[in-house]
Amino acid sequence: MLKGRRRLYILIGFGVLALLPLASPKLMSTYYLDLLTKVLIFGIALLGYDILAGYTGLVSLGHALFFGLGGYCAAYTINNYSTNLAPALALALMCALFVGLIVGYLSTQTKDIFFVFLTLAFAQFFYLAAFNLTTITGGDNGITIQKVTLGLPRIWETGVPRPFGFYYLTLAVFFVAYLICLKVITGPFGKVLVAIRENEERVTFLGYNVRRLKIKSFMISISLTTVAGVLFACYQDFVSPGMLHWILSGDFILMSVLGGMGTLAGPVLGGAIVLMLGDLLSSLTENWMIFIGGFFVLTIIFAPNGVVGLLSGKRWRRR
Amino acid sequence: MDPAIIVTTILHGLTVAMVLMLVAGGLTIIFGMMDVLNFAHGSLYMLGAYMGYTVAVTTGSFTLALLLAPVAVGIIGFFIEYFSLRPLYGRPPLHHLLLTFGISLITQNAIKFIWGNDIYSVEPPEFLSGAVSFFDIYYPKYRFFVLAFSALLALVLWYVIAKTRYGVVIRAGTEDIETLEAHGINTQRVFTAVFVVCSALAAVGGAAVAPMRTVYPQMGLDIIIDAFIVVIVGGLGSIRGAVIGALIIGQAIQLGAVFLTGFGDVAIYIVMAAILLLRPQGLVPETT
Repeated sequence: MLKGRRRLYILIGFGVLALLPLASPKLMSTYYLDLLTKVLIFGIALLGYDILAGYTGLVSLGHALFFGLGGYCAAYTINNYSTNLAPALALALMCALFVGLIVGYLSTQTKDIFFVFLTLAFAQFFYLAAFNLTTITGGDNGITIQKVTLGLPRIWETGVPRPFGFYYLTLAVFFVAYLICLKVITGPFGKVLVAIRENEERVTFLGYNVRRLKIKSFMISISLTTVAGVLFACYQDFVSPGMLHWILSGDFILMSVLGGMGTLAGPVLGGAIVLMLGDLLSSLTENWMIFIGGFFVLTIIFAPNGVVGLLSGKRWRRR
Repeated sequence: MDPAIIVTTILHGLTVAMVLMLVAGGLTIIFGMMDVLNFAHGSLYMLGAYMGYTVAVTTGSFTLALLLAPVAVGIIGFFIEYFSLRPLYGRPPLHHLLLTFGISLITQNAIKFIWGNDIYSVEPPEFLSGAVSFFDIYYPKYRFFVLAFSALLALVLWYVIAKTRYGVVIRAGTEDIETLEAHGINTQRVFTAVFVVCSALAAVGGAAVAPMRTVYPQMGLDIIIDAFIVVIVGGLGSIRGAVIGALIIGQAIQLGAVFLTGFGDVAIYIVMAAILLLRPQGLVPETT
């Protein structure tokens, strides 16, 4: 799938991530490991987001729907049936694929800004439902989740020690997600998605069913975001309607654009920048988003391809 | 159900619609002319409310607040347009949406930094406090004032757009900006002027609703989503669409709150999703 240097870089990258906690216990204190775990969880969601927004060119303002849906499904199975991660993931994915098919089918009727707002509308349904159906979702108070376990249910199960265990669990999932995305975008399917982004009409003329391809891209995208949502809920041992709020979808866009949409590394890097900068700045002022906002505005004006675009020397070109 | 409640609800809906129209009207004009979907419009409305509050508290005059807040916000609007939007004209509309999203983050947090997280209430002027009663209905005088005041502003706006030379330029701009430029109009300057006026309009809206809804840190986010929905429902860039959209969404908000207890907020999203699915370009597709 990949040859030579790029594979080497990727392996080095993951090697560093895997060895980081072991290398220097002082540097990688619990605190930073916690931050890094969150960065990776968001990274999974952002990889998914990028398939749709970056590669297919459909910017969604509704991905929090699937992040939150994953979280609530996980909360439900873990608290009611089994603390094991596997059934939680399975149920969350089933729910998300079902909801995603409907939302994806309807939303892809529109494009550009209308797509942005239709996805927003669907996500807000779920946010308001979670907020108002207090008997099921606990409303604004959210739900506390039991500690998640791994292994075979009823035969052999083990808890996930924190922070190390969860870090490696997240890293493993992130690795798989990254490989899936790499496979998708380097294959013929990914090339058609980019073609849709660049010139939808021409792809139609070539005989592709653009609508179906868009829905497919949507489904892959939301699946990864759902998995991230499950992990996030399990990591926090808690879900609240905030996981469904459009502000979170806005954060996904912000992170992706900062890092550079349409590259796999970009959005993950953007997520890391926002989360780490946010962590750093929040000790200075409660209104740290003012700086992120400023950084973001400068990015859009001077480097619309994000940090990765800046690094690779590619500037935005007028179409 | 008691008819008095229904009438009051519809009146409330009308008031909400008028305020929404001030914000959404600006949004749609800006989009129609410059292809900019201004996410920061809610922040400008919010800024109007906070500045109005400060003026009202320091000078004790609400009328002065209603006059000064839009002037101040208009100036801020000028800086936003001149320094951040200008370099971006000609790029895909999504870039502007993202840019103004960033600007709204800055403004929102700057407001929280200056005014804190408190909720402020603003006293309406003496002669507008209390309620009027007719038939079995008591309706706050101040809401009537907001209704009439916003409707008046909307009428003035309509007059300017439909009957004056400036209006001709604006309408021509929403149709075809290149032809307008070919006729010797400095479109850059028109853009700036339009953005400043629309910012000021949003600020008037914010200052006017302050006594009715209080001034709080979430108000910018609350209004921007509603205003976006109005514009999307009405048809992006269409002024008539914004008026129709505002009337529909205003009623949906209020009727939803009364008839779908606990789920009132869902009503507007149902309306938007339904309209977008049936008419993906909105009710009045882009023509003025």
